[in-house]
Amino acid sequence: MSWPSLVAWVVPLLAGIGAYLAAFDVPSPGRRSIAVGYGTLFGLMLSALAASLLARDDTQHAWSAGMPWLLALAIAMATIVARRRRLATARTEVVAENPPASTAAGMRRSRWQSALLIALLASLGLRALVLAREIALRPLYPWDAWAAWAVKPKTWVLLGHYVPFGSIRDWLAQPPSELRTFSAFVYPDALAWLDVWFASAAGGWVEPLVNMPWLAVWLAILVAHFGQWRALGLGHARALLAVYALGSLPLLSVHAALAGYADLWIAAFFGLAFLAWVRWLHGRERPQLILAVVCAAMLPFIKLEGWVWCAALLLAIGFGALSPRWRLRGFVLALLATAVLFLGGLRFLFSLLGWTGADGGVLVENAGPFALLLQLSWHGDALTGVANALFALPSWNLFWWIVPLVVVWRWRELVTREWLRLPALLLLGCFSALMFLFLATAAADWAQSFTAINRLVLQLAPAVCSLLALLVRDAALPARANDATRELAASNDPA
Amino acid sequence: MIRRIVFAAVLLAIWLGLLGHAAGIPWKAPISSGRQLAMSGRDFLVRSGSGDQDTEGLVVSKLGDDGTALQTASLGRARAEQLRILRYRMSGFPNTLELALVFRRTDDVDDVKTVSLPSPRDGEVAIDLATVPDWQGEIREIGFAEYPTSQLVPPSTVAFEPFHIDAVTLQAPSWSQLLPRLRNDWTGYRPWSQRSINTLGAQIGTVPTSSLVATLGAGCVMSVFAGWLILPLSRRYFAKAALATALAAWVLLDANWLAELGGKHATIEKIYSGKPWSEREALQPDPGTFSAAATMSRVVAKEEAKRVLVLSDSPFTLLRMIYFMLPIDAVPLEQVAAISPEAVARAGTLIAVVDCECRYDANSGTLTKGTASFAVTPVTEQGELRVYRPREVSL
Repeated sequence: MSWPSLVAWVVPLLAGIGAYLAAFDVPSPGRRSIAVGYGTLFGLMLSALAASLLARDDTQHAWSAGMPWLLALAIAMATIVARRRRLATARTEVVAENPPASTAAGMRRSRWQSALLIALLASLGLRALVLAREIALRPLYPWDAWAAWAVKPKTWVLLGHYVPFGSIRDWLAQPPSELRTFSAFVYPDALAWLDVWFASAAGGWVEPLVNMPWLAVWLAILVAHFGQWRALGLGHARALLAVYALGSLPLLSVHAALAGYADLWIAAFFGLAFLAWVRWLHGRERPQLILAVVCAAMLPFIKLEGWVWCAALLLAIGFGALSPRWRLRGFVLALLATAVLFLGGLRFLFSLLGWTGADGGVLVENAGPFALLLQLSWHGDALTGVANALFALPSWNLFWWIVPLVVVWRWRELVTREWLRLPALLLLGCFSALMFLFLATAAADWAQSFTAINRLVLQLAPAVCSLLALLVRDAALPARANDATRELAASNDPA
Repeated sequence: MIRRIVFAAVLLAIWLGLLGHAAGIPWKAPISSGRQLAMSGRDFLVRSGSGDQDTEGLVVSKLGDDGTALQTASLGRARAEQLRILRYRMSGFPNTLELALVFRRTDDVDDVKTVSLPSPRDGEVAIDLATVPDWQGEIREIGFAEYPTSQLVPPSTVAFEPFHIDAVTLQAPSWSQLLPRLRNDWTGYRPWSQRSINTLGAQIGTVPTSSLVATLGAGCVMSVFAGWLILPLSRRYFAKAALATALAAWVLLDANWLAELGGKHATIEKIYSGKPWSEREALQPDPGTFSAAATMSRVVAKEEAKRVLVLSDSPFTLLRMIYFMLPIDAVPLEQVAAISPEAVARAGTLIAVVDCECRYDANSGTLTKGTASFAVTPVTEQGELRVYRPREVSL
């Protein structure tokens, strides 16, 4: 790796971690992991932002144009963090003296349990090395990576400047060179600008260096989740075991190895927004609420379905902030709004957005996948595809077998703890939306051919893993019969 | 004690039932197959590429000029439904090659049927051909074809390593096939493919495989449930057993996935390792399209063209051509023609034709694909690439 590439990595990461520490950090177990995980993603998005704002006229020098700004941001954030640390030392000590109960419980591990954990984590390390080699060696491989996601950045980098992309009708109406077109022109640009940033540091369109952020995202997901799970009361062992479970999901590794798709990024930001929201529900830490909103707001800049997940998260966050009396009204309102949308509201919205033609038909090239919502019909066959994808094909290990078992086992937690119940309802809503998509629209083909179903489910998988981890956070084996008798006798003892 | 014996018997029944179901072995099948047609590698003749017979079989030593090797054996008249299990053992089969079964039926001798086979990299493979729609009637001839793995391995990187065809057998189903069948389904080498980003498992066009995840998941659930029903377990012991079973099954599946990932990656290391990016960039699985795009870039510069319209029969080739040509302003010709036929002939436009059965008629000066015709003037033709300048268009 050349020194410009190294600097193009280090400075945004420092700026991202600094921004996280300055804006969102609250004392908790796992705070360093949280800062590194969230900071890595923020840093990568900051480099994309810098490239999009500062390098439109000269994409080949995007990193050198953005570097002073990001360096200044990193220094400013470091100054704020250092100053705040000095002022807050006393408060940190108080928190350190009172770790959550489960932290202490998690400290007691037998030797074989420790050995097993080390072996499982070593397998994650081995995986990371294979993923890094895979990305470092090969040209861009998966279909949509070169047919859709890399078209804009490669064009901008090789032209040396930005050109807009539009529909083929607009392209035909424009003089040559002023507008470009391809089928995925509506895709958001954040990852395209990220590619521009790393390509400019690499000195050209060097695909392995452009794709390396996908490995960083895979690692950031694991590190950030570990930290947040620790902050939410999971002991070391359980948090590490959950990290292993998440990191060993085959499709998650595939999306890092075959870099270039946006689904891993959506999974990262959705999972991180979800966890920050859960922390707010659990501990009412205001910075975590803002963090959840910020992460949710990133989603539409990454992929079109990011709009849907962003809306779902923001609705859930708003719903969670309502008093119980207002929640019922909010729920009724949401039902009414959904009914209005599907009874003509959507068509009106599409026409407002310019997604319908003169004849009233949907312009699929503009509306993208949202066009499916106007053509509803029942596709029961897709259920077989869904079941195969989740329970039979090797993309998920036993993850989807375990989800219902854990939910049934720990259902009382869902009923009694609101900070788990609301996130579970959000995920239920998201999965219901996916089922609606596959069973009631032409997207049923995506389930039967296994093209999109796993990728859409992947976007929710880290959040589901978080829910499972939190459900078993303080689960204990039933007491031994003689222990229970002893406890009963002790409780009946008048002394 | 009796409960434990019953539990052991139930466990045996559960797992035998599940494994037998996964392998597609009928309950009434015999332990070993009575009806079979066994061949050694020596029974195969080399039709394409090079190879020599030795005392134990056939050594395939080279691909043909078309990048494919083919070996066939005559069967006489074998009934497909009676001999539906194909077992083959090859040694040293390289992971850069894809293996396909080719066969001919008596009722249609001119039509050669093909189906992609699992790689025989590690010993013997057994597959059930009942899931192959064309495997019916009388089979007259079977054979193996080998070629660089499509959409993954650049043909130029296949430094051919000789491999050995040891034995090939067609059998009726029997329980003796249980292990070789499941071993291949669950642990066989599967290269990266364009489908991998969407799902793992058997790829399109190959013989379907049974599901290890479903078998293990169902087996674990049923075993734990049987233990709960039959054994006098305390709640604590039951919870421990359930957790240990789930963890063990997860780790087993993960170890299997890691091995699969390692196998996939070994191919990538073999192709790209130790080469600079300038060399790796050109090592595409579709080198013809890559070089056509490079040629087209030079033609565009020479002709001072503003736009390129690309025509191909294959969506893969079409989109790859457009990507490789970037930053040239290129779009699919048929997409433009469908919206605005007259726009095809705009000034500064060239048409690039690659991997296409299109016909050019020099007399009328038209390029025809299907029912669409385009009035063009030839500019150049190099390798797989043909370049035209549009004049006017009529559909």
